[in-house]
Amino acid sequence: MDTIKKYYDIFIVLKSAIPQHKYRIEEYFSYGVHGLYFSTSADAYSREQVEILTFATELFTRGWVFANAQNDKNMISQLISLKVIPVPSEQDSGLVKFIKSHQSFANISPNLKSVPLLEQEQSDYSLADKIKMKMLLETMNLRQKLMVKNIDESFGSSGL
Amino acid sequence: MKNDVYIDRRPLVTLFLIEYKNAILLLFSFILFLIFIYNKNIPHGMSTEAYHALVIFLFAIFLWVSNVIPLAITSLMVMGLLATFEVLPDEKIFSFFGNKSLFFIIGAFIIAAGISGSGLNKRISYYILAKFGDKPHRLVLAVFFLSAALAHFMPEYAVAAMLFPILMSICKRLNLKKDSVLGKYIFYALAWGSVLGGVVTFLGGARNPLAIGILEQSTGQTIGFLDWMITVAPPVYLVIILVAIYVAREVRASTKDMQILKDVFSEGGERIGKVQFKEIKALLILAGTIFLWVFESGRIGIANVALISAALFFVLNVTNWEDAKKEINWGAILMYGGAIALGTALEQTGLLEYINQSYISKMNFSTLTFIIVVFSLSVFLTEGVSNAAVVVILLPVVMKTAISMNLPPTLAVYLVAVPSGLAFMFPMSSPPNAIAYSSGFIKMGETAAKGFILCILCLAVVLVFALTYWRIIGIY
Repeated sequence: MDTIKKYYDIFIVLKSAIPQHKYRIEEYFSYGVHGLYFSTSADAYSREQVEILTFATELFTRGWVFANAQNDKNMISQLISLKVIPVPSEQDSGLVKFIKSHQSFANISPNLKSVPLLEQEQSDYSLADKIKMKMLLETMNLRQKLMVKNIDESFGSSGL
Repeated sequence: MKNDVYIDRRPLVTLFLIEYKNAILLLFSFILFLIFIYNKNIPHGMSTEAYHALVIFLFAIFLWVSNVIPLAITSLMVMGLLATFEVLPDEKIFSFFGNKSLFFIIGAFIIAAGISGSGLNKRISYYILAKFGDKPHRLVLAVFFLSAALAHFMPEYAVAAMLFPILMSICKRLNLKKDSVLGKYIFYALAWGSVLGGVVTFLGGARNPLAIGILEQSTGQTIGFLDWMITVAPPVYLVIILVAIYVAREVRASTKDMQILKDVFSEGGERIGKVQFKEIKALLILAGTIFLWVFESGRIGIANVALISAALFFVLNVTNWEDAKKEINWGAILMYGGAIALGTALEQTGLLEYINQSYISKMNFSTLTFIIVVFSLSVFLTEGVSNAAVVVILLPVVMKTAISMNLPPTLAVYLVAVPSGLAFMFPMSSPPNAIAYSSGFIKMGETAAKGFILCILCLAVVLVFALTYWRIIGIY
């Protein structure tokens, strides 16, 4: 992960099924990925899965937890209310428009010109867009660096 | 998740401040420095050069105390700032690296490397511990006196680092638990012995030659190797005896069977093998060096003796450059060069005279108050600040104050340099403390409490000697 970040300015999203334990989310976060995409295809999310999703949204930067929405508008609304970006399982411009126009979507959008995973089309980026993306990327990297602590280093830095 | 990683969920602002506190402090101090250095409202009666020297001095104090950048780098920056703001001409500033004290320190580092490389110090250590380590209190006393004695000839941190693995293997063989009284006092003996022994000569800690360097640069006066020992050794030896009585009494209750240690000592002794010729050579060079320092330093100069002695370790093939260069603390050399430059700048720009005239002379210190205040300030400041930094921060002002009180500046050197080495309270106060603390046998709170009592004891003893013995031998 460090090598990728050293050579490329890219957002890294880990694709995974919804894990059973919260510590797996922390583990993913400690890898240094910027976001998570839960590709689990289910008709509905169980209570335990909703807890895991909520836990992930609290740990990762706003707008960087994605989940499969099965092209179901109810599920889309549920995911948005959980602050998770819904990802349709099949490309549907109408659904994308529906998601982006949802009243709560603006609060959880990752604040980019095109939302990753949701919008497949590549946008044309101006210099200002690129600077904004670079700043967002470095802010996320800094947040991750500040929050992920090595026990040995913490012990050492305490002066003990 | 990996076992050695965890997620810190405190607010990001808190995490940011913790992670970047050094950078924030540095930025904040640098902005303040720029504001003050370009300030045109210079106090009345102070020259521009003196004002610039004061601002640079305060900036340097902040950096030395906070340790946000390495001490040596602060010193190098100070030299650059002194030249940039025209406090002193740059060729003069850089010439302070030619100070005799710096070359004495380089020589002393190489001598210590030579002794370590020969294995002489290890042999002496095993011999002493095997000879006297047959009872718990005798073992602790042997560690204490051995550390103190070796720190007369080697840097105190080198003594602690050398004895540490030997003492750890002793504790392991004795199966001592982390709350063991014997284990605790073995490592207190190591730390306290190294620290106390290190102030008696110029070799235990380079801060003493540094103080002499500042004295020479400012006043042209100096203190010889023997003069230093005659002045400092009696009070410190008394403290050593009092501490020895204390540690022996604390450990006397231990009934640990020490017979098992015979194996440790014989194994250690066997590893070292029979006496090597280079150990004999190292001993002869050391003996000759000390003889010249004590009896011929007036004629030859201690720095010259140190350099010739250092060269002899190579001429007689006792050590090699690869080993020796690891022992030379180049950071200390860089720091001391800058520190001497700053001390001289304070003097030559008239800043010290200004401070003295404006503030200190109005305080009407008696000699007794002067001794108590300076000694206390130095002994407690050194608990949180590098030993050498204490000398640099306090000595120029204290020397000037002493002169204005019609006291010799050499008294100021003793009152600042001696207590600056007596850091007992915290692991970060001095390297021997940190090494002893890393054993796990001693606790922070207890160390601080005992260290505080030791500081008070040292203050009391030195005060008595300063008011009596130092007068008799003509220090002031």
